[in-house]
Amino acid sequence: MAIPYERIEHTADLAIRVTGEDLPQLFVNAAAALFDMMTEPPAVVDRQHEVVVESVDLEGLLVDWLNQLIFMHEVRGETYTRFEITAFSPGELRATVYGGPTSRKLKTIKAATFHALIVAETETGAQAQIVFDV
Amino acid sequence: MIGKQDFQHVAEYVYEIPASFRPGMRVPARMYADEKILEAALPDKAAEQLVNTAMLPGVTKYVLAMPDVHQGYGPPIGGVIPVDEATGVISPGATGYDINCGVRLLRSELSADAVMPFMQELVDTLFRFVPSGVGKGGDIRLKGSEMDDLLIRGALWAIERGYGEPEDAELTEEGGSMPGADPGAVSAAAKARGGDQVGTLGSGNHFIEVGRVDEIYDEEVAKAFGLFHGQFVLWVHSGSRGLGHQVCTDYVKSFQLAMRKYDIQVPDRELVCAPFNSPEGQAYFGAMVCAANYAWANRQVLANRARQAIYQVLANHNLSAELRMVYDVAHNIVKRETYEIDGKPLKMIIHRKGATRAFGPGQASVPERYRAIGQPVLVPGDMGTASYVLVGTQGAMEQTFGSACHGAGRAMSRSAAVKQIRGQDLQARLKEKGITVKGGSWEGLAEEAPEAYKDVNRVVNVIHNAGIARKVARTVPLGVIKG
Repeated sequence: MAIPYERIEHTADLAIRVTGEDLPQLFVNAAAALFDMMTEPPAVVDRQHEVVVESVDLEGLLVDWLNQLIFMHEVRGETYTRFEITAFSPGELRATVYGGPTSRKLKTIKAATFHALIVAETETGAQAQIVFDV
Repeated sequence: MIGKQDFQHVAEYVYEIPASFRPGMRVPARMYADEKILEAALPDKAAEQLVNTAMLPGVTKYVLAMPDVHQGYGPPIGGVIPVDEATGVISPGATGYDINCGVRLLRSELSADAVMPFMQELVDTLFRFVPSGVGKGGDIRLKGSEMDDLLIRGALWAIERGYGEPEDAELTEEGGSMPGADPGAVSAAAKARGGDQVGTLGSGNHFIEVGRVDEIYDEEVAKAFGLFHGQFVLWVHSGSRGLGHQVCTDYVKSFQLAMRKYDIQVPDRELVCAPFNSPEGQAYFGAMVCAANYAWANRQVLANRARQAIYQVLANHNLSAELRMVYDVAHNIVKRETYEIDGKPLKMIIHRKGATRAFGPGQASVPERYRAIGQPVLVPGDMGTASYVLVGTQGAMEQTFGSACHGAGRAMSRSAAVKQIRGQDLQARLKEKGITVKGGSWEGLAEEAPEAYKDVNRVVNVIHNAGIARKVARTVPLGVIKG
């Protein structure tokens, strides 16, 4: 199934708009979009990890969630393809992430930033705009 | 959107938005540009971002954008944010994720013509010797106290382990080993991320380039820098890799709370900050210095690996040369420097985000060899055009808080470049121009195409004509490896 996101123009970096049927699904789709840009899918999906992210607010939660995944990707050499959110509030997120050893990297993303960050509920669900430093 | 009419043309190459332009601005916002550069800079958000930086607590005199300015993710790239140390803030977002991304130039006694016949072999060997590309780790793996030692000692750590000569560090900004490092302020996550990345190039706009000096503008200074017409030279452009990125991520996160504690508001959350004289501010500074030292260790190892590659190829052709330092500069960093404000010396925090220090004659922190003339200012261009060596001047000390541009500056987004340019075609086109390029990915190459960048000649001419830094020499690329 296609991940509901698109690239937006930015001179030096990478910006995306992503949607979801609700906030937790938005976070799942944003994570999927991140890996879609960074790597090819792993050959096997044989790993899972519990992830806990705490933040000051909803926007911070999205940035921290994506940066936590970037950290795990770099340090473990893993790519994640499935994200199950088990608890969600503006200040905390718990999830199980599933993936495998990274097969081929496409792009290095240094971090998700707060710049021009939008995380909002809409009539049809939820939407976010994120700028990544590349 | 900010338009040309919002700027006052205060000097030939200086356009200024007054502090009255928007509520919250504490100082004016100045852009160094010619008319064409100014007009080209207006369509993206760079001017807005510059105006935002003028709202940071403690900003003093004015904030600046250099002529390579373009939109960033907080401050504009090409931004200089000078802050009063006693009352002002330090901002991780205003320094950037690639702390001490910077560039190093080495010179040889060889003419570039001597190596042209085997340029492909040179490029292939460089590509083999230097770990480059997306996510590529290296063979130096650091943990625990060894990592902490590197974070304190920087380039000296690498030299002590056989990667180069003491002179390499002597001719590096801060001696390649900046004081104030606090490894305790660097998270375990950052150390883990940087654990196997020392001596790796990275991707994006990082590169190693061999080139030829094709123009000398100032014979006397060129001689002092060891440069001559037709000379074979080596450029290395890289930064603090995952360690620096994580330090920035960590402190942008933790400063969200600091903002509430110190009751600071900023117009862009990426400009999150804390008072320099606060536990949070001091912790970030200590961590930032560690990341800066990591980058200097990285460039030291990279440059030495490149040297080994070049020496091997030269030996295959019965040639030999010694590649020696010209200089190494940072262009994403925070520095503590003193400037005269209202007739009195003021201790300041200077954030340079895509801007290079450009100290003039008589500055104590410039290496003794260059102290009487001014520091070399290294400005790498895109891989199809040229790079420049300039010399810092008293003009920079008076006008721009000792700062100059850092490169050509992007003009086209990465996505637009990839849509318009095929990496394979670009490689072939550059080959026809006499430039051999080897990259890790075709898309990565396309993103870095010359047409994606401003005209570096134009950018450097503004710096030269405005009296900030003087042109000394120009080099053109012959062989380039990109991650």
